Amino acid sequence: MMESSLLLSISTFGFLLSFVFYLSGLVFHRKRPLKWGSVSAWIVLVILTAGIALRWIESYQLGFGRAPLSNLYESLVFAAWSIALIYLLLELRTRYRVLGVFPLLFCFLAMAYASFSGMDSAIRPLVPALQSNWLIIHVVTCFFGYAAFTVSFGISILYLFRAAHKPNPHPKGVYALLPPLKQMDEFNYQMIFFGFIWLSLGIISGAVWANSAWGTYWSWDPKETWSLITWLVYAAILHARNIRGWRGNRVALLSLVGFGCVLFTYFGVNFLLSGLHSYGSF
Amino acid sequence: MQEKGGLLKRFAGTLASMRLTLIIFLTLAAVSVLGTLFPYGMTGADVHHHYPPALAWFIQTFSLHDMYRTNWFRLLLLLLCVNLIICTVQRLPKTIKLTRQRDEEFSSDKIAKFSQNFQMTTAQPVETAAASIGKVMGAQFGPLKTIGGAGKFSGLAEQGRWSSFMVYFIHLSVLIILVGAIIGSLFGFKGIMNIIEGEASNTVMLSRGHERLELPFAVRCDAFSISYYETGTPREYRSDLTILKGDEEILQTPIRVNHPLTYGGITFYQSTYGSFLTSLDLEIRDTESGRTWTKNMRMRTPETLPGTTDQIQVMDYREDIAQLGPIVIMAMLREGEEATGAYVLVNDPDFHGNRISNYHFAIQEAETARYTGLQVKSDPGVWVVYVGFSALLIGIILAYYMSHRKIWVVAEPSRQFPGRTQVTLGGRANRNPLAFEEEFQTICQGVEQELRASENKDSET
Repeated sequence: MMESSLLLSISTFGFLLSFVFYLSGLVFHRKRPLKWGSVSAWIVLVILTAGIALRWIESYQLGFGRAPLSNLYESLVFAAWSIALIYLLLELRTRYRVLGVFPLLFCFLAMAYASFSGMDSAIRPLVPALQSNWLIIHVVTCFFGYAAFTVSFGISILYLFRAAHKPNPHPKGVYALLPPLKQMDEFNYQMIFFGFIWLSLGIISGAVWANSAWGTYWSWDPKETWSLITWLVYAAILHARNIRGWRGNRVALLSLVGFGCVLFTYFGVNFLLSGLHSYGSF
Repeated sequence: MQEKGGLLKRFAGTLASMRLTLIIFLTLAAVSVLGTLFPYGMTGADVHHHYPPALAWFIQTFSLHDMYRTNWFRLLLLLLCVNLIICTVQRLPKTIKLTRQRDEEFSSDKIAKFSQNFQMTTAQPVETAAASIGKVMGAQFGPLKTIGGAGKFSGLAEQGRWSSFMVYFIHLSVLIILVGAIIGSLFGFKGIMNIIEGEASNTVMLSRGHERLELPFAVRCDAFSISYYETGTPREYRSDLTILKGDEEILQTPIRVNHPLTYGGITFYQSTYGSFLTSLDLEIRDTESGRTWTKNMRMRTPETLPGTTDQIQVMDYREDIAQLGPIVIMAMLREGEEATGAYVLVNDPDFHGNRISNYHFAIQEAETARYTGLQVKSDPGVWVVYVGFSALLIGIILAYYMSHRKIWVVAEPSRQFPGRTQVTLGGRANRNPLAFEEEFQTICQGVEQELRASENKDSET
């Protein structure tokens, strides 16, 4: 019965290890630790996938099968999984490994917060409001969006650091392994657009679900409103970049603002405001 | 007059500007933040109760507790629509012109400076080389059109010309969503129906304006039930409903949370449940004179106590408050005084708090009936909104994956190596340069292989 939680604990430490590898690769400008970071992140992703799948199976053994996406603990685990997956896919495509520092840090933080803050990690049955196939679609799409924005946040931070030392990047300095600024800006834009697609899917699936469950596709519940705020901020970034030609620092700074909105939508709303999404706060 | 025209023009220019779009986006975001700080749907009294006077005044003046229904918020949305429409009207002709533009011819020197470029020489004559390149491009990218000649070959192939229109599609979908929302708010309604088990009703209490709406049919609640998991948490709320037209039973179906019933364009959702008080046997004792009365009370029906002018009334019934069990809220009206009230415990007749002024209340029997609370709505705009949703998603996804990509090809006699042909390829994409780079490189590799292969064939013969 405890197999899934063992796998999740292993993943927590695995992500920490992977983060340390990425960080040392960046700081000591060595490619080898970056490779270890990447390999370990892939292994942890597989372990975590198995852990989530097992938790799903265990819920069936408890007599009420349901997807493991229904409370803060499970959503944090799934957030870590999505960040790792989306980052590693980006890494495969760009072949730059240094960008993994922040995504892996967030994977570890999410798992650590889920494991060590004493929140309820027991597998509980679904309350009637959540018994719907829309649950999986809604949560998965939202979290893929959040994960892409997290990766974009990481790229933005590295971009801003790198841009601040633009005049003369020391060939063996901390920034030596980072992609050229123009390319980082491009990756950042790709991630923001990618996240924007998923967030749109998430908001719309939530609206369709709300309409079929409560009869209103939009009720200005704080979580809804904050997800719309986040959507507007990223929409503003896309417009500013495409039409007004904003690049680099400005886009990176706005991405930090957007990520702040993501964090508030995810945590702030649960803890500070009340509404329909109260399942998320325990 | 001229100045006025200039002003108007400037005003129209502002309405059409991207800067305004960004400002509206960020303003909408900022005021929404304000809106979430104060719980939506609070009444004016709640606001004054919860916040200090200055803040409460501010909240009330701008209706921050009910912001999304205020006219200034609607005005902001309207401004966004106007901005969107004017932007479209201004830009669309330009986009159409751009896509219809005659294909520009560039020199090989210019093409070689494009962000994606490739150059090689081959022993093939110009025409053969152009044919080979055309073959590779046709297979891997798109048909190569000839756009120039005279001693050399100049061609262009392009993909995703229509991607420039995607943005209009997305904007149109946003307008469709807003139109759907307007249709819903004009022609739809939303309300609640509380139906006692075994009874039927056709009256909906509308959520806006305390109005009632009579449905053309009645809904009967045959039964309401809750089932629990072993852990004690609720598993299912279920109402068995029957739709009645006159005495005729039209439809019989259970509804659960997430599984509503739609009949005649009206949807019924399982929302809440509770109990009504149907009748109350009450003993009233005057603690000063020691007189007692027994009365059968009905909800909200005042009774005068014999021998006095004092009136008592049952105001409300609650299933459970602060784990004291069920309670009845009583009120007393005495001439020349303001009405006073008290909570009276149903299960504890001797409780000292069961009193108002000099009267002590003891409940002898409370008869209740369970009701199911249904959310009722009709929204003819919802399908328009869904069409807008689908269009928005399709638009955003296509905009992400599609880009307008052009590849120019020039094959001309080489200046550096007489007798050979110089081949130059240059590419441009309006979006997603990373993916285009990969595509371009694959094409160039293909071109190189094809030209080398045909050279080898030539040298063998």
